[in-house]
Amino acid sequence: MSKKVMIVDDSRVVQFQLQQVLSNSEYEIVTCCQNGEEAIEQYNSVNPDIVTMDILMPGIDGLEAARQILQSHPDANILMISSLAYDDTITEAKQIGAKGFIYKPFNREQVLKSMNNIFSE
Amino acid sequence: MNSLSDKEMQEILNGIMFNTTEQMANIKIKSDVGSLSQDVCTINTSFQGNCKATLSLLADKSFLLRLTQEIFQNENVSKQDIEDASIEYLNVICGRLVNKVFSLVHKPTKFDIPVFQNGSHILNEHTQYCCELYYVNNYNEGILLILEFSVLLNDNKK
Repeated sequence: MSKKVMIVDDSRVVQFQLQQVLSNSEYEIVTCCQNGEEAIEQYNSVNPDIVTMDILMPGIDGLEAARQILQSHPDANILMISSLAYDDTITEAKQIGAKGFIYKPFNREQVLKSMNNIFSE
Repeated sequence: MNSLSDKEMQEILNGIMFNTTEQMANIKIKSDVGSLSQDVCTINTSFQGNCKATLSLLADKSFLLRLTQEIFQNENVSKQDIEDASIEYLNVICGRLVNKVFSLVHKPTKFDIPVFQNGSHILNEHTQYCCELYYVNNYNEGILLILEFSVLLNDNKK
């Protein structure tokens, strides 16, 4: 059975790229949210197996969105995918409870490996 | 910027531009001297933190079209596709710039969501430091990258 993926990113480029890398894999994209607020609203109804979360978005940033999702869903699997790659960001993401961090631009191997690692833990 | 020489800054920016352009769109670019065509677009962003800075990327429209076609793997792309691809291009460049430069010389900072505009639009006129770098691809389509650090208003003595 495919694992359900919720993409949270305002960039159509990233949405397209993730669709490409996850095609013909065990991961199925079930929804794309344009910002953190949408993701928080939809998380309960979509109930994804994994969320890919950008950081820089209109409204609340991805770290805050991840924090709020994890507060109400502590078992949520959140994979941060961002161009912001400095140590403070990664540290904060881990402290919030994100399960992984990928830098943009990404390739298929990086994304699948990161996702597989989350489910193998 | 006090900890980096002009040459070091240029090397960092060149590395970021070469790698990002190739990784995102499989397009090789090189440093060059020259000028853009009259038909350009601009993508700008501002950095927030201890040091105010702006990054502007001006590019020949033909370069951005090619970039977009490569990113979306489709020759038929819309104006919106070009805008979205250009914004994401600068987004990735900025992320790498923040990681490399601002972590070395300043407290890490964030940047605003890039803004796309037709034509040539440079954000700042009053600068303490300015780095302008020009690149071309194999089709002689150009990009001009301008990194400017603003003079803080209370330090601006004329």
